[in-house]
Amino acid sequence: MSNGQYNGSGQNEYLKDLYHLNHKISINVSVNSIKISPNGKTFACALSDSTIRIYDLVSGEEIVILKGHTKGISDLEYSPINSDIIASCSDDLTIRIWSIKKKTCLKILKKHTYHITTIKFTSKGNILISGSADETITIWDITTGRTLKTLAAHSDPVSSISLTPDNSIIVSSSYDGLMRLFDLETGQCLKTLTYNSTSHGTATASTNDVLNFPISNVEISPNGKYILSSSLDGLIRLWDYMDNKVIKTYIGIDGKPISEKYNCGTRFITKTMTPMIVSGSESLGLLIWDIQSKKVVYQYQDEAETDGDSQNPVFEVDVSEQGKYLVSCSKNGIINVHELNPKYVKTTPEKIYRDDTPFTPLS
Amino acid sequence: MNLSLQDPFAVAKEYPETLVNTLQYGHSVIIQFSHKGDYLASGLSDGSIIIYDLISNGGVIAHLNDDCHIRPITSINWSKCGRYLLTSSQDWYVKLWDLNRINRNDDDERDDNEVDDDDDEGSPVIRSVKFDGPIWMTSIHPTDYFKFTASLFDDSPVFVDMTDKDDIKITRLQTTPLPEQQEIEAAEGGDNEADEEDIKRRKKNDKHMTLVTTFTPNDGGYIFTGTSKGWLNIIKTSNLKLIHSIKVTNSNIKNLIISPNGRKLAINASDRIIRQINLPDLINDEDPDEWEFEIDHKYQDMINKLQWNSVTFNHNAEFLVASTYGQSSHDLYVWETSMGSLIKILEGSNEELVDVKWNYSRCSIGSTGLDSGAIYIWSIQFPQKWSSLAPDFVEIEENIEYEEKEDEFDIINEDTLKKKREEEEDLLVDVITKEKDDARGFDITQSSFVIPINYYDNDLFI
Repeated sequence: MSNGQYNGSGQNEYLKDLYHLNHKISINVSVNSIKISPNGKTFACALSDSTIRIYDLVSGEEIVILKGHTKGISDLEYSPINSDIIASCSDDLTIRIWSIKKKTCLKILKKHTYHITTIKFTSKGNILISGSADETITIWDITTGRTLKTLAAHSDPVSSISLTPDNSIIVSSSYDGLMRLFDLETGQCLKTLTYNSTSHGTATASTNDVLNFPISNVEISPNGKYILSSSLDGLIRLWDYMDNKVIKTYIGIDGKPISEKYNCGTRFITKTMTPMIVSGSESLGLLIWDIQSKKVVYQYQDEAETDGDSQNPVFEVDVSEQGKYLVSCSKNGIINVHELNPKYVKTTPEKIYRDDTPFTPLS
Repeated sequence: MNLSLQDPFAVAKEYPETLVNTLQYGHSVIIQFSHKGDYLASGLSDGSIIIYDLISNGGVIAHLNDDCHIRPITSINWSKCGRYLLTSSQDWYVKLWDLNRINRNDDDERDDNEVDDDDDEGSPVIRSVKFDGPIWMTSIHPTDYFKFTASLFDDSPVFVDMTDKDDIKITRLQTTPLPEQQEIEAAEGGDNEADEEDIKRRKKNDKHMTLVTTFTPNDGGYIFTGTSKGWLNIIKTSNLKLIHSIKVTNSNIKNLIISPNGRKLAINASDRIIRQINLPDLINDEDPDEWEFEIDHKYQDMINKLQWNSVTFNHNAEFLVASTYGQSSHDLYVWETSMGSLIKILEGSNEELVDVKWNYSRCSIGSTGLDSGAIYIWSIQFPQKWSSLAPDFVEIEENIEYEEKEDEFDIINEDTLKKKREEEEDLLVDVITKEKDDARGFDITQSSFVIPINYYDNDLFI
């Protein structure tokens, strides 16, 4: 970094200007989840006061507040094919589908018997998958509002779910310390992964003599080959799930745990020279690692947090345009909108595959 | 990606064996899978069209019933990209649908790139052609969804170019095979005494109809047509000239199926025989005189003498499936095409099956029931492996004596363990590059159109 130009090879360097803070919004209610719309124009926040707030991504102004849930909201998700549609899940045992423009709830889905922790749309936007503290995963057909399948997935609350890019596999994580891979179409369990301290991933010992820490979050890599799992032992691990192996382990700054209490979301950033991962944390703010070197390359903490006495866990992060915009939300109700410093943007074009080129029908 | 975690023996199976699903929404008479294999379009007897999403096991995505046909659908074609649908019906119409215009909410904002085609109130039917009678079937050009050929009831087959909405070009194609044409020409050029015979022959020719047409796959360079007198005509698409004719049989040609790889042709005729022909290299060898059409196999039911309703190949033409005529038979016959042997009879429906289609990439077969109008789907079932339920479970064929590994109970120092892990993690990870093929070898990089969903108003489905 002698001339301020990032060359991509200095993997151990700390990049203090990697992101620039565009907006800071403070709302004094715990914000549990945050998502950027697929068209990149708005972002939505799920609040503990049972409201959903939609903001403009560029100006940071509030657009609308959606009210209807009767308890705190854990997660929300935009329809991947229609940025007007949001699905949200709540402790009131319902999933609601909302129209932002109409400011109304279009549909209420009820089935779960305990708090719903996480939801995901398939890329065609017609199927919604929800994970709940009732230990099941439910697959919903949005067009009919019916459940297609309920998977008896885990023996403890389901904390997080993720989908491979081809929508064929659901990856779920749970407080029972397991990650499971399910075939979306058949509902069959394809694989179970657990981290075992003695054998480093490939468990041969009996399950009794290992303590499985709860897994709080899972995220699939952009190519669908790896799983990033956050565990409440304070570490984040990158799994090669075909091989049942952990191939990278990430820790907080100075060996501090990333999170031992809260579910902190993670995302992949691929717009930069070398791919990175970003995660919220319990007391270290927002952290970004270089995937290969496993070194923390960027950290952002709100000023108030640095006092030390009041921790402000960052619950969820989301990126758009492979990481050009980065949003985060926290327990104290602070929402940050970051933008990637253009000098770190990957310049060499990726090999172009047919699915990366914009889709234009034949003329 | 799910396939690579499934039982490899089940994944390697090339044809489906189990009836897994029955879709019943209206009375389906014809079905067609999209090229990517994720959607299924079903033409109903009332002239409307249902589109199923196969990922969610047959959830209905759309019911095209505005501006739709008013008599039973006779054929459905998907464009390669999956956005357009060409349908024909007994109501004399052929329609081209733009699926991007369905399920739209009135106050939906349109994407910027759609402004070009927003003239007539956004009807999903972007082209419509009326003929002078019912349409037997249509076949869409493989690379240009504005072009199609159609075989018409009691009329000459046509080639239609709908590129310009206000100037739809319809070209009639010949039915009279080349040798007969030459005879007629010779007769006309000859003396008067030949006239009478000529007239007789012409009368006979008047009843010679083309029943089926299809494009050659990939580039659509040729149009194959089959006639009521068992002739196979080949027409060059670029100038629409009849360049080759072969007499295959003496009876009606009911189906003309070219395998997706362009290697094999199946001709289903009303003489109860399916003839399988190895096609010459039509792309590189352009001289019609050099072409040879030799019949590779004949498929027929020797005992019951069954008629075949419909027939289709799998993606690489290694298998052929046909549905059978008659109330007594409810099965699909699957043959292996290199030796011509019957390898499987697909059972499970309790009625006669009519249309049959192969979903290539998902390796399943769909067929419509004559009486109920239900769609039956046969597919490959994967066994549930209980070893996938825990990381330390392994499925073994038989009991094995457990041998303790040399280092199994060694006490390893925490530090060396940590170091070993560090070393193991010191490798490059590529989280971006995607696989290009799935476990069955199908190209998965092909992107396909995603049909919009109506989130706002779903009265239809409730």
